[in-house]
Amino acid sequence: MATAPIEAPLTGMPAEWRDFLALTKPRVMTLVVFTGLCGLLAAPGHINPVLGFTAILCIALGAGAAAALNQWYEADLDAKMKRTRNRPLPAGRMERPAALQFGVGLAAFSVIVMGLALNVLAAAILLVSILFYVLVYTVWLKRRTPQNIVIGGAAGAFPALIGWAAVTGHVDLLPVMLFLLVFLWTPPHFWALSLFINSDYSAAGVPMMSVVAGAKATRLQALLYALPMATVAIAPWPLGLTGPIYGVATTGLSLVFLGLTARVGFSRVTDPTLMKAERHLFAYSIVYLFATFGALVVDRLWYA
Amino acid sequence: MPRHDPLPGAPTPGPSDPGRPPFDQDEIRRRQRARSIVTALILFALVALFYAISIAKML
Repeated sequence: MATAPIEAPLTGMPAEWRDFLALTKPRVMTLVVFTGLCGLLAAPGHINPVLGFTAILCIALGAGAAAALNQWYEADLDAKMKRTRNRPLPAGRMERPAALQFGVGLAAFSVIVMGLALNVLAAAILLVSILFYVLVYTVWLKRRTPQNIVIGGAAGAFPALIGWAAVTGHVDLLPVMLFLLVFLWTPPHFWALSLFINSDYSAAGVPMMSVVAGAKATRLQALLYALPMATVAIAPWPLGLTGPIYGVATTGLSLVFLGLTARVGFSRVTDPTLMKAERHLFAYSIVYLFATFGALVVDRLWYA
Repeated sequence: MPRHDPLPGAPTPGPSDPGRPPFDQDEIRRRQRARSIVTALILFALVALFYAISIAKML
């Protein structure tokens, strides 16, 4: 396993508790917790609020553990990128073994508590999602292939499945479609970002699609992923898995998403400071996921 | 600023590391204290959570 040197000198000080919190990427965790919560609320059946809270806590801790292990492994990479160089490890505010121990401990704790308090299936999916993010995405794919975030996107798609499994103890078609939705949403979301911070990824040597294949191919591929994503997003309505509240909302939201992706797809802007369409798509993609999952919960509760 | 003896387990500059500046013992103490308080709060919250889970599982 690579143990590349970190650029900033270590102070030898014990890390602040805030640095351990920063290691869990709390902002990214918000989306994970939200999709997990929506999976839990959309699932048929009743769950005790204490157990529901525990399930969401375990999803959050599992995501935090994966983020900590990701930063432990990528400290050298983070030091090269403007966006990430102030994280606790590259900034020298924490030593690497502390991050590793914190990540492994948090992962084990979240999976064990999920298994004991909820059920084995939810715990197993949580474990798979952590291992997938750390081993498949971080260690294996990220530095090797421009398809890194396509396959790695599956890691972020698990929370809705975990939330559903925590309530029901099994997996149905609807949570699988939610999984697919997040999986297909990830490439346009990340490629929009990579287009306007391409120089950062390039400097760090990360083979993002925009670095390896260029902006034109990235724009086209983002559009190609947005089409099946919109189809999967809308499909639960005609399939009778959701009602019209979700159907109408997600149709409108998906059409806007497609419009923004088409703007990016046909854009010829090369200067990152002028890439407004890409920034709009990136910002909207976050709103899109929140709104789509929110509409699903409203729909499921309304027609329950 | 009050002087403190080196803390047990805290890193101290020694002959093997002559180029390293001396660590601020007060800063180390402050960080360890803050971490201890946060750890205590988390452990207390976990005790309460496990108690609530036990009750919920019995219902």
